[in-house]
Amino acid sequence: MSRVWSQIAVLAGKDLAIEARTRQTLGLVVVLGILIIVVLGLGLGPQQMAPAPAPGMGGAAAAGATPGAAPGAAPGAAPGAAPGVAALWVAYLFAGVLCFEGSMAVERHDGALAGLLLAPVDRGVLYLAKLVTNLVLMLVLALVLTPVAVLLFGFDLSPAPGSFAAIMAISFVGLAAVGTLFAAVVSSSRLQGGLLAMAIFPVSLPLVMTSTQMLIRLFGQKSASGLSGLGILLAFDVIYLVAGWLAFELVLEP
Amino acid sequence: MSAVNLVVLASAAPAGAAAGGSVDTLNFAILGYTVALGVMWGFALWSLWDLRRSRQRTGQIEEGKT
Amino acid sequence: MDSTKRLFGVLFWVFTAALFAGAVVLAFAFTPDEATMGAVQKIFYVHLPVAINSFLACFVNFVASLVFLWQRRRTWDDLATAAAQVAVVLLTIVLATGMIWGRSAWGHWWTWSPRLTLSLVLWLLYVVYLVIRPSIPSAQRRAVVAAVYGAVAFLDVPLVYLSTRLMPQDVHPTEVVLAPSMRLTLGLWFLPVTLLTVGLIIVRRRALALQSQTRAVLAAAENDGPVPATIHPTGGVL
Repeated sequence: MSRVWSQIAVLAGKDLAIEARTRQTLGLVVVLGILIIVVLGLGLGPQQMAPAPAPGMGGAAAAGATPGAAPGAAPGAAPGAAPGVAALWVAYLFAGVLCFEGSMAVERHDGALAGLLLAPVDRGVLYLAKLVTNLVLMLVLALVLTPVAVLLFGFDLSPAPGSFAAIMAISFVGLAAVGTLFAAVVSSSRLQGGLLAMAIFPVSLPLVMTSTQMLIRLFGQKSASGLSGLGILLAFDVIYLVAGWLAFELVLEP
Repeated sequence: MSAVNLVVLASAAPAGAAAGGSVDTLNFAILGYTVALGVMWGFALWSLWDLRRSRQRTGQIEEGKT
Repeated sequence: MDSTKRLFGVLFWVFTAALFAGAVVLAFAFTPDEATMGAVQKIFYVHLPVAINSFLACFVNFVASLVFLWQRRRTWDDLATAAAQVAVVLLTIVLATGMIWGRSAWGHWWTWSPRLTLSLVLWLLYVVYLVIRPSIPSAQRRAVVAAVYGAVAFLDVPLVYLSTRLMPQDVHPTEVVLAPSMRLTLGLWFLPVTLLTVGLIIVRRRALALQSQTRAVLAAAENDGPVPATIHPTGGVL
């Protein structure tokens, strides 16, 4: 068991050392994430940040929270919560896909993947190591993007910062579990970036729906019922960690 | 997806819906059936045509081979 | 032998078409209009059987994907693709009829209600399945990747269902009783729709099998030999 851990540490350490020296993925991804948040903020307009609920707000992630379409939502919802959460998720999703792509692209240079596959390591361990790399990259991403969204969308994290961090961390594990699996397909075929996003987005929609609903309840309605979706997030993580661990070997090919 | 719930879902319509005018709702019903049957049978006919074409193509290639 | 098979095929499609005609007559002439919604409720008789059969097609895709990963026979890949194509067609019908019904009964083409969202996400998942396939050039790789995606996509369905239930819902009364004639019509509608679904999956699978066979023969002829040049040791046996 400790052998597996040290293997994961070596493999992920290698990826992170490369990333620390070149910063080729993170630099791109962080700037893209900030851009997405700014574009969404401008697109939604200052009206969204006003206290009155704005009807007809588009977008799949945010529409569930639109008070006009949802008689069940509390009327006193905090104005910034729904668009802020939606913007954060869109930024995390797009930037996350680039993270997954970037961390696999490293292996495409100079036949690195072939070397990796020759190493006396279980393919499942390769998957877990890539997953750890991706999670670290996404953590850095979140540390930059979350404050940006909080500032620009006037969305107040202070009522429950711990719950926010926990929900996001659990969601990231699931997103990275799906993303790492499909990124392996991309590394070894002509499946291009747009298609990677296409494969990851629909599969990760339960995560997006559950965690946005949880966060909106947590911050908008100030009620403790926000944690009811935790089981779904954990089930998603477990299902896709197992599926990715089993299937990584099948889709990985130099 | 139980039958009962679906019917309930629709009957719990907001007041803004046009529940009156039975001619109007009949038009919507006819539209729904036209779309459903059109797509289903359009796809079915296309599939049968595609199968026929594939059979002919395979037949030609087999002939060319022997 | 071949001609009996063909005769059976013709009879099957004629029989299914006749059943559909009878079912439409039943829905419009036999059942009464619903009290609050009026005639638009008749969409229900086609909507529900198609929805159930679209799940059936998704399930066939899932099983075929898993069996493919286990046995690596191309016929399972063809079956999975056929099922995904039929699933997308049926889900399109579910969405379209649902939207038409919603426009009439609720006054909106679309609301983010849990069931609508579930159908939409399912539709997206299987459209993506069909879009990803042609972007992978090697037949072996395409089959493996599609099978992994098919399995992953179907595992998503219960999660999507659970997560849609977290969304704000309209308040529903809990009980409604269908009139006996309505229940009979609904039950009878399941027969032609299920026959059509099974028939479509079989026809598509057969056509896809013929097409990939043709492509393999042509590729082998081009390479002047029976072995394609791109076989890889880990590519699986096909």
